[in-house]
Amino acid sequence: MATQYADDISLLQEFRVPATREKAFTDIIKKYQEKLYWHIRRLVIQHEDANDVLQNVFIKIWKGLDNFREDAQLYTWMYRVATNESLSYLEQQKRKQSVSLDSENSGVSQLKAEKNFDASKIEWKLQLAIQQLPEKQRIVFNLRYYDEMPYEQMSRVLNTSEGALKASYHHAVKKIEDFILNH
Amino acid sequence: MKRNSAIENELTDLSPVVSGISNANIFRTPPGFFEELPAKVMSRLKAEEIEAAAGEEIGQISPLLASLRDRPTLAVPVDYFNNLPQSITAQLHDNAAEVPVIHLNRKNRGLWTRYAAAALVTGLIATGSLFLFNKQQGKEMDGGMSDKGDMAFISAGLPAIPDLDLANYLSSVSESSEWVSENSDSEFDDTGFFAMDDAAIKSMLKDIGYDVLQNYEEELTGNPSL
Repeated sequence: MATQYADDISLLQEFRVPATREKAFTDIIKKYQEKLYWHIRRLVIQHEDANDVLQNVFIKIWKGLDNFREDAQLYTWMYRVATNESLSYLEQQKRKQSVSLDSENSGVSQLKAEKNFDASKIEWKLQLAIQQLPEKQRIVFNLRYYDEMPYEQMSRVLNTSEGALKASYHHAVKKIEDFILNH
Repeated sequence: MKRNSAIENELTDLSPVVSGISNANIFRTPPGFFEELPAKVMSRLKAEEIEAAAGEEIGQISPLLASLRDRPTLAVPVDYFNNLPQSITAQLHDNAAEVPVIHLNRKNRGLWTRYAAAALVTGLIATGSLFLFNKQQGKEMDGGMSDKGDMAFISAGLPAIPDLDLANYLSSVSESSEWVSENSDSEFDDTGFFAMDDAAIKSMLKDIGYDVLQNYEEELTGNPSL
């Protein structure tokens, strides 16, 4: 049975009281760690990288939480921080890759380095297809396909119009289908 | 994992192929990862708070210095840090293609070191000796002048020169105003003499006896003073 946590507004109120600050933040971590981890992991692929990025995300959330406006959704804001942190990490990786002159897509090589990678399995083929997508489309596809995020919420996370997100998702699905049928 | 029906329908409309693939998670995490993560994050936060407290120390000692610390003063070119790794790597590649370095063998290197040490010691001894010799000679010269109050050390060398030669030399030297201006030490004149004011000259002359000054005037003019 999943653990029940207090709602975000109560957690934020507890966070603002010095005596309950740490406990409230620990609860925030426990409540959102898995969702944020898998969102990051699907982007950076390796567990060690996802762990580093996730810890940095929580550090940033701790530092920014005092200024967080209660009219915005905590969950949405945390996703935005996690997305930006993952994109920064991928940008760094890209720079390293250009220095090392590695010709293979970083995400693809990371996937192939996974312990239980099996290219004959359709789920892994799907992951390879996702890695072929441009970053923005990859994020949109993951948020919709795995996290089942409504476009309205996704629009706040990615600061993009709902129409653009729908179009992006549509293109992503078509590219993935094409990859799966032709590889 | 069961999908949200609206999202499932949307995906089926877009691509039955992709819709047919299970969205089950194929990645794994180490055992106990999510149980340990909150404590790890909290411990990192505490470590960062300690570091931040150390950074605030300067604020307590000197608010001015603390305010200046983060103020940008030096600028770097646009994209300098972005391009730095590439430029360093490029330089490393260039250097690798340069002429190979030939190392001196250990035996010769030792020999050179010994020669260098010997030259250094010799140089130190020679410089020291020269310094001591000059100092001694200087003392003798200074002592001669100050003790005897005359130019005995110069006069001692003069008898070796015939009087006629000295007279010829002195008569051959022109003392026209052009010669004086060409051969005078202007820096000395400026600093040593013309820079003196009347008070300083009076102060210098007060220790010289009246008789001495009178004799000097007679020598210059050839007439006894009044």
